[in-house]
Amino acid sequence: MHSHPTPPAASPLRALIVDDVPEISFAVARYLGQHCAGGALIANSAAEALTQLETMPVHIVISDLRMPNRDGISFLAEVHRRWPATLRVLLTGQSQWESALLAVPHCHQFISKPVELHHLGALLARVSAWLDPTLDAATADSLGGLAMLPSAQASLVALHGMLASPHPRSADLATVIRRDPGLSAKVLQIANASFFGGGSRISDVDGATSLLGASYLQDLHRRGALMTPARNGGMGAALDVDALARHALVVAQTAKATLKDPRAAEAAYSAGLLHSVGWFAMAAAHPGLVGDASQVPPGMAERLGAQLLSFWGLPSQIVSAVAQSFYAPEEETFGPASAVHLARGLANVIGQGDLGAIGPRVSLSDDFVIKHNLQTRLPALLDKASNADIQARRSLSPIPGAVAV
Amino acid sequence: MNLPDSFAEPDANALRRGPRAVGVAADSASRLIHDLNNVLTVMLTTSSFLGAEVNPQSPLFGDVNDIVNQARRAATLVQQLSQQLRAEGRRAL
Repeated sequence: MHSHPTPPAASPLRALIVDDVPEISFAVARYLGQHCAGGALIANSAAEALTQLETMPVHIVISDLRMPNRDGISFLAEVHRRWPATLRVLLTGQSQWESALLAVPHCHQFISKPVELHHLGALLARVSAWLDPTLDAATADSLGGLAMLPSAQASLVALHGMLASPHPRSADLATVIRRDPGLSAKVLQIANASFFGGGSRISDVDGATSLLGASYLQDLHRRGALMTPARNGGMGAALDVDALARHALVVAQTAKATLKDPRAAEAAYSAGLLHSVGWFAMAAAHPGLVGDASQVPPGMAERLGAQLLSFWGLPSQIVSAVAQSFYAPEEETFGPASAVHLARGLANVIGQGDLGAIGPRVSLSDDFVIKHNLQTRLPALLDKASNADIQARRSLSPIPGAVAV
Repeated sequence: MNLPDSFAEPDANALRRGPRAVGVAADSASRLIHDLNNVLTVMLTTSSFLGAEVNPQSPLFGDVNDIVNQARRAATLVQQLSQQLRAEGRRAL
């Protein structure tokens, strides 16, 4: 069946709320209508919603889980397939944990019931801040359609082995997950669902892994919703996923080392690890652009990454740091965004090449160095980056003969 | 208000949606919590709209706040029930 495309991001933001309880759909739509310039539509069933989407596509769909005839997971799976660029949000209660597992491949975000309007407002603010109005349809579909990011082979093999054991420890799982951008992004995405976190934002991978717990991660893995090798994602074919993961790890560890405050340091680590995820969306939509730096506008991959991570509900601090990591951030004090920018510049200097040859490289300006008084710290930070590079090559080396999961 | 009855017969998808090894009792509890959450959603959203319309100097403002606070308290209690159910579900697997 032909589907109208998702409206361009530049058009006024439009939402659709799907709930079989009319009082809820009306109240949520009333609120969304005040915050979406394009208005908010109401549907009281999945069938009604699909009919509406065929004539008037929207940017955001928020659907209840339990509805007569067709549930929210099945409905959102169809939206995922036909309108991949649409942000898909599932309303669910905490008791429906197994159902939420089924929804993970098709939903960007989860909101717990009872719905509080300020939670919806925060979601809208986070997402609309990073919607790129200049995105072409192929890239928007690729970005919105991504369910998982491919992981480095070494991480896949190690995590699969741990999850196959009867009683893995969360702390052990975290040591593997925090080395890999794809795994970390997925764990942070789910942990930031209000279903788990109760509305608080979680920036550190260890905390996210601990919150989800080993048995939940085992369930996710059994359902194929936790990790994917490069060969399964079209986006991975154009990228050297192992090299990208090693680079991300160097940037993450170096960025963390530049900050003393533990929370800011962990946020910098996460943002450093995730700063290049936009390349996956770009590689899936336009594989020919990867490797040709002259074809990719500086900062574009970072903006894509920020949009992807905002769709996935990651904390604004991480999203903002990713978005600002190419050019020197404008923040006055040295925070996670500056830390990631600095770490990318240092990785470039030590030969990590800032993503090798796939796109524009970061260079540190004199103004940035002087503004943050980094002149005397640079030699020591370069040593840290070099050590991080050695560790990353050791921990993420491809394993000859090993078959990724 | 036309909210579904939690104690009605399970629909065709009930088994797939419910905790797979916990049984019918847990599924009924899950549906009950779902319906309670729907009731609380309507209370919270409607009272939020009402609160935005009422002058903060009006005695009604305090009444609306009382409704919101009690609905939030009820939501917390439902969440505790949900967590208990979730923990039971995990133990049963």
